[in-house]
Amino acid sequence: MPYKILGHTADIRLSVEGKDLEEVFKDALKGMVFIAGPREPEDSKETARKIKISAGDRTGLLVDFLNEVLFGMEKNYEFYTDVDFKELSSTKLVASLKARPAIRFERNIKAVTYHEAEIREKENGFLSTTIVFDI
Amino acid sequence: MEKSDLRKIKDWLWEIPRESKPDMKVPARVFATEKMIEEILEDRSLDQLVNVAGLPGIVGHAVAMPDIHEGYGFPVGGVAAFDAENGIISPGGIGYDINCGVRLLCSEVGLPEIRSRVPELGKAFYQEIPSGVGRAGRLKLSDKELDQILLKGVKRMVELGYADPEDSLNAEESGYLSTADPKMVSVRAKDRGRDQLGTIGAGNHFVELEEIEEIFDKEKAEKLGLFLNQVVVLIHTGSRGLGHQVATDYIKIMMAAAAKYDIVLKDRELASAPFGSEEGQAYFRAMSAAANFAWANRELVSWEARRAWKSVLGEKTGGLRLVYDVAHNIAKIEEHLVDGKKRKLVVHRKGATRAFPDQPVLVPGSMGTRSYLLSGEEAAMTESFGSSCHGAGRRMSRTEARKTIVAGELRQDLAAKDVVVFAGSIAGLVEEAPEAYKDVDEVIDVIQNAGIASKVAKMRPVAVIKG
Repeated sequence: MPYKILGHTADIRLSVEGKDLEEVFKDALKGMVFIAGPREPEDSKETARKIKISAGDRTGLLVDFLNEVLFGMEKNYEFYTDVDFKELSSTKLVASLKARPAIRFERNIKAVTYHEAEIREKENGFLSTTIVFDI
Repeated sequence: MEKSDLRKIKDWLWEIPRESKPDMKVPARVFATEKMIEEILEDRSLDQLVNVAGLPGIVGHAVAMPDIHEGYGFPVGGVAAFDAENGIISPGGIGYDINCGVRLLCSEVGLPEIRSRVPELGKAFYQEIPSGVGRAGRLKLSDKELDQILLKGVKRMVELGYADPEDSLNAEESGYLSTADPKMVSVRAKDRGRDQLGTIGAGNHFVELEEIEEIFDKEKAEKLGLFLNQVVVLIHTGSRGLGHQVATDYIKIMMAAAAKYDIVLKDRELASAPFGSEEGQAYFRAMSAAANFAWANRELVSWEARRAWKSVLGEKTGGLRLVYDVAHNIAKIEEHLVDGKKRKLVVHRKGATRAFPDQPVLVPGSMGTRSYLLSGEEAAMTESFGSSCHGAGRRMSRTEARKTIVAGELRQDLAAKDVVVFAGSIAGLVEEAPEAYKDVDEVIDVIQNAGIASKVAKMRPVAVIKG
């Protein structure tokens, strides 16, 4: 199920879901990059960016993962088209991000917040959460 | 939250009594008209204010300004004061953009003298002042250089020759907090901010050329060197990625600290620690450093603006002098009277401006609408811990703005109002359209009626520079 952008008075609320944690994380990454709106230079090449994150629970891990993505976008002027997980549990992930260079972004995401974030299991067994981005 | 949960005290002041919701330690007060209250109830900002009123050590009231809107954890447009000995400090009560703030520079000329040069000036400002996401500033700071800025803020910019020495006299806290400790700022935060000094970023940040359209208090305006039709420059930006990362880092630290100190959190973004604890002090020192970075940032943006001004108009029209600089996302140690007793408090202002008696208070509207210069009044000290509003306040979401506002029409509307716009992102411009904001005139009227601050001058934009 693809992400949905929902209304929020000042910031942006993203709704994500997936059949498992991996789908939720991938969906959230794609939604976040869509919100940032990267502009790619011509003749750009894909590179890989390795990441390793630990957190207290799966919601904290998702927020930390997205904050890692935000740091990479801002520090390295790049954006991420996908992620391959080598390891993904409720408290730890080891992954490789597919990175492409960016010359600018449409929006300045200041931070990924914990506000309203809570990965829950739905009646159909899917996992879902909302993420609010500070813009 | 229902309207029936609120008790009207005056035409511009409402209260949510302490007894009305479980866990409230103090009442919550909202400065707003009845019409505004109905709009405010459309989002969750008052529920968030009630959550704030339940945090440990809060004193007096949890206060909401008329420009309040939903934030994350704490609402935007809120003031909360906590006892320095028994209370907490919370990064969420300050916001991710630490020391986001506004400064006003004044020129020596009236608009009629340079009207034809406004588009050229706007273009020069847009070219000289990096804006948007992905444009770096002119300085690439080493760790040692960055630490000096984190320690000294505006003072360091004066030493480096990027600020007029008088600038530090005209800024809240003289443009730096002595409580800063760069060692409390992570390498990651420093890396995010290293090349961002002197940049405005995107979102609601801007540089605007404005004309003083109306003066309400001639004596105060003259004292500040302001006159009718004068061209002034308004700058709105904060601590950029460095401050955002400090907040991100410490919210995580505070979530663990809250559990350690038995603080029950209704929302993770309310994460907090006792002010006197190791975690509380570490955050306060890191926040102070990020605040200093923000003051230095607005100073370097001013340096770029002063340079652009001279490159277009030459020396004959004079330069740009700093009138005042205020923070609207910050925590400060202040003394206030609570129930007749003087107490040392940690005053959190998130989307709220300090408004001590006779202090200039800057309240930007949206592009295309008016901005105000106010002067703090005595009642602010008893009603709102010496605080005022910080802007018009959003009323429309960014997604709704994109759906309902057409970029071409927006540009035409602004052109019809004699406003020239230079923006890197059309989508970003649409999200910040005047229609997305509340009526700033109504917000200011509430502040004046409440006796928090009084009107000194009203300004209208003539050129808007956005990322």
